[in-house]
Amino acid sequence: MTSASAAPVIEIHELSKSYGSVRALDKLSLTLEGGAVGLLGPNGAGKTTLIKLLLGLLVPDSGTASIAGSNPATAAGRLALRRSVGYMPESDCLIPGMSAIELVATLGELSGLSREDAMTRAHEVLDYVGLDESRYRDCEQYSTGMKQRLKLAQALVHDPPLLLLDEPTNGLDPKGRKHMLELVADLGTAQGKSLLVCSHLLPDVERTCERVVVLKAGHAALEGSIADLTQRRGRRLRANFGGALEPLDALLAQAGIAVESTSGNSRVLVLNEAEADADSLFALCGRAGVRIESLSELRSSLEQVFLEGLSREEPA
Amino acid sequence: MKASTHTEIYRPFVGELARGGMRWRPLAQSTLRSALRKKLPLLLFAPPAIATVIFSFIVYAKFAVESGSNPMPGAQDAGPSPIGAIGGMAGNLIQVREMIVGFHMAMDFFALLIVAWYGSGLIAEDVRRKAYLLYFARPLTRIDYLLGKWLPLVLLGAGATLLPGVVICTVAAFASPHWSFITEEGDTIWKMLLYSLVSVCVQTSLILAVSSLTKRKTHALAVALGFFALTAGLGAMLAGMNREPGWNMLSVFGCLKRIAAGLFDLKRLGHFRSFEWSLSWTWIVLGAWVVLAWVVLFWRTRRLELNG
Repeated sequence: MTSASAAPVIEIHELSKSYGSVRALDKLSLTLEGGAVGLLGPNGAGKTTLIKLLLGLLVPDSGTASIAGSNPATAAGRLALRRSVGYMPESDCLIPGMSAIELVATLGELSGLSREDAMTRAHEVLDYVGLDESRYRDCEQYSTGMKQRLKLAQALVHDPPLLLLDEPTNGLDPKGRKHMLELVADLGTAQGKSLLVCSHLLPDVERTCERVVVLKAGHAALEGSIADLTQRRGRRLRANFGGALEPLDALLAQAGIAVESTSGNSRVLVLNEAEADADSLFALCGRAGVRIESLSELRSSLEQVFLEGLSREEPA
Repeated sequence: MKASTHTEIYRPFVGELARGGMRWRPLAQSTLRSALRKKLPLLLFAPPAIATVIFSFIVYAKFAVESGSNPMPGAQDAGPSPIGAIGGMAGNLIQVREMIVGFHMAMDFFALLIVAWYGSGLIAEDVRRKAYLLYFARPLTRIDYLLGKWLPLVLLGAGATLLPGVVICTVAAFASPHWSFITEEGDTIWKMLLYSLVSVCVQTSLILAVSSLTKRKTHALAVALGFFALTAGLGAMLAGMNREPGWNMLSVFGCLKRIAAGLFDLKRLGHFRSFEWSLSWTWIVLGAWVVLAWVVLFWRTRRLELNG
């Protein structure tokens, strides 16, 4: 994936927000550059709260945030940032009694488009999300998948450089989910949009984002590029061997190469950083009289990284 | 086979977004379009429309009789005209000014029904469906949002009071001999406009405030109509019990009637036999209701924007 921009798009400094006695965000500090960023976390981790704070739809208890160069804590900052941000909320929140084209065009006008531009853009973005034939239907009659696509279209109507997408695949069937993920991935790559994708579905984030932030109890438990995070656990290889494997297993143990799983003549091996080129594996196989029939590299899944991040103890 | 023209190609927007401007306008337009989309509630406009036609004819007949012409020229060969008789009676008994005031008093009720029906869901349904998230994720100020909701409601309410009043005054102006309605009763026109605006603004502000306090249109409708009925009943009851007509100021419609009586210099109106309470205090009380309604509206809208 290519980054849309390397400049910080979102900067958060010790941001806190509580609902009564529940602390949704706890002195969260983050700096997010352009590109597609996934915001992961279990329910109640503070994902939606963070998005609303960034949009100025909530007032923080303490701390500061800057999004697209504007401060959501001030009225002028809110108006400025809302011009350059597209927001796709999690809930249905569609306006009853309006057709899709009317809804998107009206919201485009509210974003600052002229009536003519808003209508043209509404047609274009509804085409883009695949609602071309249903654009004149009342949006109350839409299926969940169509509503999700309509919400994406309204977020895109004023062509913002930054999109905040809150659970974009929520409630979608596999086909609808695939389509939505294709759209999100296209926006992040081909269209060069910066994305903040809030989701609890790890495969969705893995497919559409290049960076990830894992929120846990209101603070960032893990942050980094997905590629780096999934490599952090060492290089993992799946190897199929020919011959008797007992001598090889002993040699692997001696060489400090961990065997993660065993299945017949197949092994999943974890090489440490020093064994990155796997030459030692070939040498050990030669000594054990075992031939390597196939060798493929495995990546740690984001799920493993996510669970590790959540299971980490909080710093004292 | 699906015939499709869409290409799912993203086209970037080339141009600039406007800064500032009247953002309430597209919201008001879409609110009005959505309101008028359903045909059945438009029946609420039927009584004011029918009443406008009838009153216009009576006004026309009055002036026609005064000027000595037959208000129904096509019926002149069919013996004595019953319409002409009615017109003559109207000409003798009813002054146009009182007719217009009476008409507006009657139309206030229909205006309330119209405003309550269309206005009760305007903010309540936004809250229930969380549509305010879509609005406030855009560069829309709270004043823009409120104007975008309130002005269409004023327009709909004006359809039951202001517009019929203008029609009747126009008929009176054209039908009166030598433009006597304008030369002799000209102040009636601006007083009618002022009263209609006050009436509609008060009703719409209160209904919208109630809508902002509830999460369902049906609840807002019940609370709004209950509020008007309760204040009217309470005012009348306390006025009767204490033999003090000033208690009628509790009622929004009581206040509106007092203002109408003051504006049009009437001694009695409808079931109000006397208006022995202060006109100034009536304006203050009515103003207080409106101020309270807008305080509630700003408070609730602030919560929608900043506690989304």
